This record gives sequence, structure tokens and C-alpha cells, in this order.
Amino acid sequence: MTKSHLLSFVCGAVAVLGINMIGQSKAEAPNHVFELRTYHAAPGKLDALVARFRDHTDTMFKKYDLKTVGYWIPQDNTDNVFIYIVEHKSKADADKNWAAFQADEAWKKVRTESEVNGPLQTKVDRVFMNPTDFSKLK
Amino acid sequence: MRTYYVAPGKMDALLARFADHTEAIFKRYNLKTIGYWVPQENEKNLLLYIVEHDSLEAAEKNWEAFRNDKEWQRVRAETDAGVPLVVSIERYFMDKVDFSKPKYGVSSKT
Repeated sequence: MTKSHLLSFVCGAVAVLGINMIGQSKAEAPNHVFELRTYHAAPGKLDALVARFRDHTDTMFKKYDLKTVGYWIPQDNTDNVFIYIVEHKSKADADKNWAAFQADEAWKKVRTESEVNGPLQTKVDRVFMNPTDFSKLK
Repeated sequence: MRTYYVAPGKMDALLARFADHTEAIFKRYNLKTIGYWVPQENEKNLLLYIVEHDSLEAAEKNWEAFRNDKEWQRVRAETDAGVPLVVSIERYFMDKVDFSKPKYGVSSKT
């Protein structure tokens, strides 16, 4: 029995029993929070930035439950950006996991070594988003 | 990735149109949406979504077929009712990088 089926059964049983469960009707896990991150690569550094994610960052994210939905590069990339979306259980979880990642010694070493000739990005835009009810990812 | 600048006060109407009509019509034309999102801090009144296409050519073909769909044309006319729900749309095509997950799937909420 899937979780949603089980949940339906439980909710049905509660209704049949006539137990006053006001406030419990939304017992389903809350929607996740999605973070859209747009990295503005430093001039000439887009490949190095992407390589850092490929070789190091993506693996390190996994240690801290930073689940990436996808990584993309615009086809017409006049802004020299690199885009990805991270899925978090909550905003609080996002803050906790990013703090743990930032404090990771291996990550600090990778970042320092990759930026000996200057930062790979000039700025990062972050947008926290809520999925809509009809979104597949939520 | 498509970013919709929603008309003031029309977000709920636009979300309802996607939920009740657009998403179903998209499926007819192989317009596969990965996710729809609304920013938590939404001063610009945006709705964002991502559509996955087999190719740029497939994208153009499928969007054109969608725009010509009679049901969609009727739904849009009825729901816009003379005042479009969307003020403007930004779209850009993106390539997935090689280490991106192969499938977007459905999130497993815990």
C-alpha cells in the first residue's frame, strides 16, 4: 500500500469513527521548498565553474541532503549564467544544510584551490519558490 | 524555463487555469512540465515553470500545435475575458549539463 493510499485509509477511518480531528486533515507531508540558483560566471570562467560542480560540488551536496533537481546552461547565454534548482524539505532545512555545506573542510579546500586566479562567479541569485498544487515536483 | 508576469490580482485565476485546463492540454502535445513554482517573495507576481522537450524543433512544433488547439483557444478566451491573466512571458531554452540527473521524476516527500 502506498503512503498516499494508507493516508487516505487513515483519513477515512477517522471520519467513520467520527473523531474530531479538525486541524489534522492536512496530515500529508508539507510541500518541499525549491531554490532556484542562478550563478553569474566570471568572464571566461563558466567552464571552470561547471567543472567544479561536476568534479566536486555535486558530490559534496549529497553529504548535506542538498538535492539538485537539475543543472542547466541557457542556449543563448548572453548573461554567462549557470542555473540549478535545489529541493529542500523546508526553508529551515535549507538554511541548516547550506550552513553545514559551507563549513565543510573539503569544500573550503576545493573552493580555495579553484579560485587561485579569482572567483569563478561574480554573483549568485537565489529565489526560494513554493511548488503549485498541480506541479509534478512538490 | 518560462517566467510569467501575472496581471495584478490574477494569480489565483491563472493557477486555476493551469490546474483545470492548461496542464491537461499540454499533455496532448507532449509538452512535459517538470514543475511549477511561485516565488516565496513575489513582488513581481511571477509564476515559473519548466518544460522538457526532446529537441528545440519538437518544442516549436508542440507549442504551435498547442496554440492551435480549439479547446485551449476557447479556455483562454473565456478565462482572459478581455483582460489577459498574463502580462508578459520570458522564455529561454536551456541545455541540461552532463552531470544533471537523467530524470526529473516526482519528488519523494518525507
